[in-house]
Amino acid sequence: MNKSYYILFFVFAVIVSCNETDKVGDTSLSNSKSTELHNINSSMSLDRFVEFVANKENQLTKNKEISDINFQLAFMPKEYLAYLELKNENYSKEQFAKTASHYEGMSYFNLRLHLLKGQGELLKYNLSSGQQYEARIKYMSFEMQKDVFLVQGNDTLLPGMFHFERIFEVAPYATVMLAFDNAKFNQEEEFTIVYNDKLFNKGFIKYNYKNNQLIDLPNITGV
Amino acid sequence: MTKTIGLLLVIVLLIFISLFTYHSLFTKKMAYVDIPKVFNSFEMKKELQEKYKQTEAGRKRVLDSLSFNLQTLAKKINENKNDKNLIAEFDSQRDMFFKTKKRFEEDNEVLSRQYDKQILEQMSQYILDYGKQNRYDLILGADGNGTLMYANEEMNISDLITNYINNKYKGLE
Repeated sequence: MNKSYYILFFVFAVIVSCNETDKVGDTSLSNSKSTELHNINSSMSLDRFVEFVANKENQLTKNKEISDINFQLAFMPKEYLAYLELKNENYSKEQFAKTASHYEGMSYFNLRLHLLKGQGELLKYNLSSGQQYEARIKYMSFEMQKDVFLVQGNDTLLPGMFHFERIFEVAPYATVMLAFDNAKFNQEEEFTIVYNDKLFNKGFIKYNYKNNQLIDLPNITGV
Repeated sequence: MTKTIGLLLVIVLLIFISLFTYHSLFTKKMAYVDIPKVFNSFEMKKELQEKYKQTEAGRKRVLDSLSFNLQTLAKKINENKNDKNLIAEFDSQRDMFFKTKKRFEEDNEVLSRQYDKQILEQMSQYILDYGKQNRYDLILGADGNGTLMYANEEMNISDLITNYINNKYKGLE
């Protein structure tokens, strides 16, 4: 008989908890994902660190879907960049540290525009004329850097480095790498990176980074 | 006695499960939003409205300057009515004024449409995200034009939606 009571209590608890999630009004902020980084102050191997950086749950990589396009902004720590540079080589700990040190002084981000549906080249998507394709390449190479900026308080900072990764194949995405000078903004304080999309006329796309979010990263134990 | 209570509890439990299953399968989660209210409270709309006003004011300043030049020339012509050079310059500047005015009006129109499209596209996307995230079957939009004739105020999620879309726009969500 005792078992029946336990089963009854368990089923009742499950039903009540399921019902709670269906209520109108228990949403928005209460359901918002925590922006806290996971595993802060923990240590991990380089491979795990690379996974950690790419894991969307850790909020270093942020996505925004606006109808047909996904706009992804990914923070790239210097160790991650060193890993990308050396991954096909046999390297020592010193070599890794030296490579990583080349990326000091700037905060690097990867901005990728990705076509959500359909195949084909992103820059050929919804072209209104043949010339528009060339204009888009020119825009991404030279003018787009004026449309990406970092906002902290009342200050606005343009990227100190901007590079359009031109790929000569059909790909439903396009990527730019950009970096902001660490001396010109406070990494410990909240900031927002804004991209004013003129390629597909989506307007301001914003990504917010919390206090210390770029600093509170796990330590790398082995390289 | 205990057996009877146990049986009774099992029956109650079965009824409860049946009701829950029915509720889950056949009850649709619905709500509505007051579109003008949400639109006007959307941060992106406020920002772009401000940006538009600044652009419009800048263009107006250019037109005011051209208009001032025309008035100065008109005064000079009044003083020297036979000066053909002044009259020719006045005609030229007047043409330029009207062309610029027309161009600015068209540009303002295009800019306004462009901003409206951007705002509506992002707003719709964020409402869609909200619906998916909170497992809604239907979110209706009330725009005061009779599309939604009546709904219980408890189904009005405009404030929640406004909060959500503003956080989403700011990159906080």
